[in-house]
Amino acid sequence: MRKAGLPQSGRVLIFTGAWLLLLLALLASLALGASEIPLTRVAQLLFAPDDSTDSLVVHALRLPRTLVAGLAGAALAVSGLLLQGVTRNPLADPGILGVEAGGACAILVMVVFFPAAPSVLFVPAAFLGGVLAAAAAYSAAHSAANSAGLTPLRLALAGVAVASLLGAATRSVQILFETRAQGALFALSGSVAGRTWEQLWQVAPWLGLGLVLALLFAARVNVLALGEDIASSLGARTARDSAVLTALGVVLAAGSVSVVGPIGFVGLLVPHAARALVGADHRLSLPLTALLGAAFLILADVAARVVDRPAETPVGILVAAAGAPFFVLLARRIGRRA
Amino acid sequence: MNRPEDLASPLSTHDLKLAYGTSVIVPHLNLSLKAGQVTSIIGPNGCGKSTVLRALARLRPVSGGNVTLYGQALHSLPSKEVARRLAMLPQGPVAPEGLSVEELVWFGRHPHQGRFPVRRPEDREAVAWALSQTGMTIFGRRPLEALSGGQRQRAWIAMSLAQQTEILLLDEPTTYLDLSHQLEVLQLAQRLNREQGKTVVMVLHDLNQAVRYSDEIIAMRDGEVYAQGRPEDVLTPALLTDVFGLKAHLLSDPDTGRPYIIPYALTR
Ligand SMILES: Nc1ncnc2c1ncn2[C@@H]1O[C@H](COP(=O)(O)OP(=O)(O)O)[C@@H](O)[C@H]1O
Ligand SMILES: [Mg+2]
Repeated sequence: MRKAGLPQSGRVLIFTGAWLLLLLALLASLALGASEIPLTRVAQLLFAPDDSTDSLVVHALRLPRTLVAGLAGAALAVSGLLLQGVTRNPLADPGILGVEAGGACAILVMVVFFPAAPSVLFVPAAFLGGVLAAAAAYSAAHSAANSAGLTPLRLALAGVAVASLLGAATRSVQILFETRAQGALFALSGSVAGRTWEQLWQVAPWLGLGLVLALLFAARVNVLALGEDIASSLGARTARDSAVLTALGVVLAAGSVSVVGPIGFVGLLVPHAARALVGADHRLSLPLTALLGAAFLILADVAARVVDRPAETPVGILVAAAGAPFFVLLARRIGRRA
Repeated sequence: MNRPEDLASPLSTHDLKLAYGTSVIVPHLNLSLKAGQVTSIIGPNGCGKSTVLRALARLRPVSGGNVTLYGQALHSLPSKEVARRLAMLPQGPVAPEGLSVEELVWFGRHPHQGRFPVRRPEDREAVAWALSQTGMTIFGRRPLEALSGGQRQRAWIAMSLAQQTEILLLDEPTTYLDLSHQLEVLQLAQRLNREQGKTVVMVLHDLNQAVRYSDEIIAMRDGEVYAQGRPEDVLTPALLTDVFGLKAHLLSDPDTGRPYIIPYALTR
């Protein structure tokens, strides 16, 4: 029989393993790609850059891209964990409130209608698109809410509606402005190729702050995950706490979409893996989710670089391809339990 | 609003109105619970028992009137203070997957802890006490989904006990349990009342159990209190007909001298 609550040693082992995996992913991401750089040279260049091409590749190309992937992966996964906990819906993910669709639509609008806009505006525009989509879903659910209030199901349905509406808008723009939309295709599939230090600094404060806050609020997610009635009878202020945590989930998701485009599955699957490893306590599963999410997206990006070398494959497509079988597994597991 | 008799009553309602949207379920409820007693709420399905219990625990907004906790307006008290004085176990709670019994019971300490919880000795004592009262100590490490229905219900009750409140509200705590587990829960409620002086309010469906294990019965019909009082005074043939639509023989329980009900026909 399975025991809940691992012994201390098991947890230490799991977290050590997760850190090692992340380290491995970082090194692989710096070493592999169109050109291969030996690990010893990577390590040396990391601390002592020189004028070589390898040094340029590591510092100007691979390092920012790796950090973007890691940060976005952690943010997406933690966003999924928060939304799953707050809505008590094991299939919730950052897409559920329309955040990804909103971000994608905004990216396309920028590329097609404002091609001359300065590049620093792209990330904030996509961020805004994601946040606005979630706000639209929230207010749609709110205005339709009756006596039963703003239930997670209602919110999810409103999110699906907003997402499909935005999806339709995105496709219409793609069809109507086919040539101009070409430039956005790669970004719309989700990619970290060519991410710069500047783009990293645009999202790092948001995502970093969001992750820290999420860690601080982990205990509150635990209480909310018991359901609104139980949480209220334990003295939690459920309406306020779930609004705050949902907003945090939206900011994390929108922040990552703004810099890597829409990438599915990470926010859905990584939290499940983390919970399967350390159990239902978010004070443990949340940091583990962040570590695994970062490692996962970095490794996926490495795969995206080498699978069709020297051409780049959008990492979002790779994640979707790898994620689909896991999704089926997950659905079967949840189906059996219900 | 502060009548002197309310100060002595753990929970009272004053012209309480409860509604879901525009449908009013409880139009006008005036109710006063007695301290240190076991009170059972009985009534047919859908008459508003859960709705009232949830309002008493501040789990749902009121459309009019108010609820007082020893004379203080319930809605004006801080949430955690309410949860330190009053524990409520709703009907059919579901725990997240993988949660162990001990982890669940620890949540009962939430109202006693600050923003960033630390496990103080008194918290540990309360958790251990709650587990032992419910006979769940040996199941502490088990995930809830690996328990029988009866054990799971006792785990939830243990969580409520760990809150160490003076008032305990239980919505249908015996539903889905076999007879011996039903008695276990009822005896636990009685013991907590007798030994710790807790005020216990339960929603029960089995009338004979309600009679046997309660000091006070509240019979509800269509969102109103039909009768409130000692079991032997409340459980009359007229009540069984008016509230439940039943014809019944009323015998005398050889142990308690209270009525024992054998329904034999429907009146409608
Ligand atoms: N969330 C809800 N929305 C609308 N009506 C509800 C809701 N919950 C309960 N009701 C209605 O309120 C009435 C009382 O329900 P409830 O208090 O659960 O009854 P009881 O616990 O006595 O069986 C019923 O008619 C039920 O249909
Ligand atoms: Mg009920």
